Amino acid sequence: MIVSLLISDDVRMIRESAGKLFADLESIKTLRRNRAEHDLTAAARGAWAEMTELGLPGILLPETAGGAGLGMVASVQVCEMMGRSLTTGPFLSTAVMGALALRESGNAVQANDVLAKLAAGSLCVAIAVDETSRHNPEAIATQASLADGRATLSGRKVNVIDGNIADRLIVAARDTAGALGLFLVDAHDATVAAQTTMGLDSQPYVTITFNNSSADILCQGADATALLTRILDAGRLHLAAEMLGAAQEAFDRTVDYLKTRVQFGRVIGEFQALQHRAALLFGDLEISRSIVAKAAWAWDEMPAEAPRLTAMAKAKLSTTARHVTAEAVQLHGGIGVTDEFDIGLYLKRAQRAASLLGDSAFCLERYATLRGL
Amino acid sequence: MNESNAFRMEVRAWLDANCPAEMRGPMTEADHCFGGKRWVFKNEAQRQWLARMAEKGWTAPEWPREYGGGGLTADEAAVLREEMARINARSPLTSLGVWMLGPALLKFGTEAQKRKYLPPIVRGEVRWCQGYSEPNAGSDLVSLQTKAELISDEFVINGQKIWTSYGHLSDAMFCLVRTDPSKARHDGISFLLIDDMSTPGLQASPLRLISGNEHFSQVFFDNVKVPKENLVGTLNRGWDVAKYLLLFERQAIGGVHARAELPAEFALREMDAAALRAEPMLRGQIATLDLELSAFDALLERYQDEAAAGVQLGAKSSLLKYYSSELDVKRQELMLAILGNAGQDLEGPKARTAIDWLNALTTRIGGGTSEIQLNIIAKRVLELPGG
Repeated sequence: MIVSLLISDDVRMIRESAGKLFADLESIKTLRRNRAEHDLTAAARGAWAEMTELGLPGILLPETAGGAGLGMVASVQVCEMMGRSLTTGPFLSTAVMGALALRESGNAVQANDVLAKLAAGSLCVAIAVDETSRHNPEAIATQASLADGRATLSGRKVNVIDGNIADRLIVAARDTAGALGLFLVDAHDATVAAQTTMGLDSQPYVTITFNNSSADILCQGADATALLTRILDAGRLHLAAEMLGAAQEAFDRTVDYLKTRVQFGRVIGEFQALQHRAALLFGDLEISRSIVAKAAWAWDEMPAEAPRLTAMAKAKLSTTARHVTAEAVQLHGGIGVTDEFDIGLYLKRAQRAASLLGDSAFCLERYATLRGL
Repeated sequence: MNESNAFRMEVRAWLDANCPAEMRGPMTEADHCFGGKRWVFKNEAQRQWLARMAEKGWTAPEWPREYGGGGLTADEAAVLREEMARINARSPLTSLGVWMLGPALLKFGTEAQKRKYLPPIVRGEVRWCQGYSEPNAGSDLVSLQTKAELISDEFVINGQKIWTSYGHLSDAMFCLVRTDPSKARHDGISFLLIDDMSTPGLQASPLRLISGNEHFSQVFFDNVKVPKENLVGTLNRGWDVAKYLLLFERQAIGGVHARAELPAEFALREMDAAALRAEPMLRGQIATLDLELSAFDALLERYQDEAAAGVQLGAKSSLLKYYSSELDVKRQELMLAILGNAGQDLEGPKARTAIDWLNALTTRIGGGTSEIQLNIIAKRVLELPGG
């Protein structure tokens, strides 16, 4: 397992080029502008055009499918850098969850056509799973009527990540016998209605209703259950990486602030009460970084361990990122709670990401089950 | 097959053939092998395991071969650690000589000192203790007052040390002494070796703790004489050596509990699954701490990977010391809770957990308290100002 948790030069290049791109884009300004104009389409698209130029939509796809043929150790770097800079774009929904779902669905005919466009950045995919407010992938009631090798879907999905800009939706639904299936739906079809409001992090909050919508069958039964779990786990891993980036940036800004803010005639970073808080946040981040790295490594090198480590990473980061960003606000004092100051944006991003695809309690429960408890 | 894989296969085969079955599996405090002149091996397997590993130099894998070490590169040493972990092999030797004195001598010692002291450490023949803390110099170690006067060819030591781990069971001591009382704080401290704990004027007596354990001792010096060749490094510059070593101490302490049993494993051994499910709050606590400890393991792995790649850990070793001791206390508290009232019976079959819990409390005090570690992280890693 030597240097397993260190990244290779290839991966470092991805990390650095993504990091540089996002820094140059000044994503926070874009985020604020989209928020002010209530432009939720632009908010969801974010830096997707520029990310496409870097070849990021196909990062996890094989080279034969027009992708970069890289693994999760590489793709989590992109999410971490997005979190650091609060860059948005349908990377998680399309390049990670969508690409994985289509690649592994077993329905090569449907998937290949979509994958080629996905890798070229000309098509976005979103995963429609949740039907309940708290994430619960077992509580799926959307109906799939099967006939002639196709399906017709009816039901309502909430919290569809990037659902407002998706061209295709991968929908979890049950057939009349109650068996789970994954289905591919054209999001532009007249029977598909999306309602989009603004989320806490200025990103879209999307609800989608299907009314006898025609769908391709991707996979069914036990295969669908297994694949859905895998897609959700991949999403959780990348959300953990995004939270790591957001929390690290909020922390770095906070340490800088502690070194410059003067009260009682001295820099406040001299006070031991604040030093110890900062040291503990640092430790929490170092541990968090290690577990994200280890979980990503497991996806590429030791898949049997990936579910447990992913549950661990999402549980840990959902707690750590909320804690670190809330502490960042507190350690900034009054200025930290003003809208004009950026630190609050990190708090909101962390909170939203912590909640998506299973919060810390959900992931801890999953971890406990996987540990045999 | 690349070179590293070839080495791995060689190590694996050797360990399979040479690590006795009794030396595999989790380790409690009673299972450590400290070695030394007065050591009584717990069993033949413990003696064999030490002898075989020492023969390879693998009790000190990265020390040069000329001093008895294994001569391994950092990568190879990592492979050895991983392969030992794979079969749950116990550490063959728990030794302050390996952790602390060796690194000090390799960096600051004379050639003669290296040749004299390192090989017996590798073989586990001499048990060293560390004389640092004093009654009035605990967290504030640099205020230490035990003095050593250089009179002709000898240092004459007077004073008192405390919290010396196993001082009363050790053969020799490396210690910090004040050699120039006119200088304050860090200046005027030297690093001295006392080859023989039975030197006239030296008295070590055990200190009984709340756990009943006699791990630590007090050591009194009344005109204890050691030859001037026993000075390590430069006179009055002993703090350089001590500072260098503190990093090793924290890493060593940080690593000790890395392979301790995780709470989920303990719970599933002590309770049946149905009983556990009937107590969802307890189950939640177990899962939470199990996750925290596993996450900390990932940190250890990452830092080991970085070390193998040549990245200096530096003051970040304070994180390892902080979390390993703090998490171990939480782990022991939780295990005690899992046992329920049976864990409170000091003469019952489950008494060990309570004792281990009380002992764990010492780990977040010794080697620099948790609060001192946080100070170090704030100042040396985050570079926050002051003090």
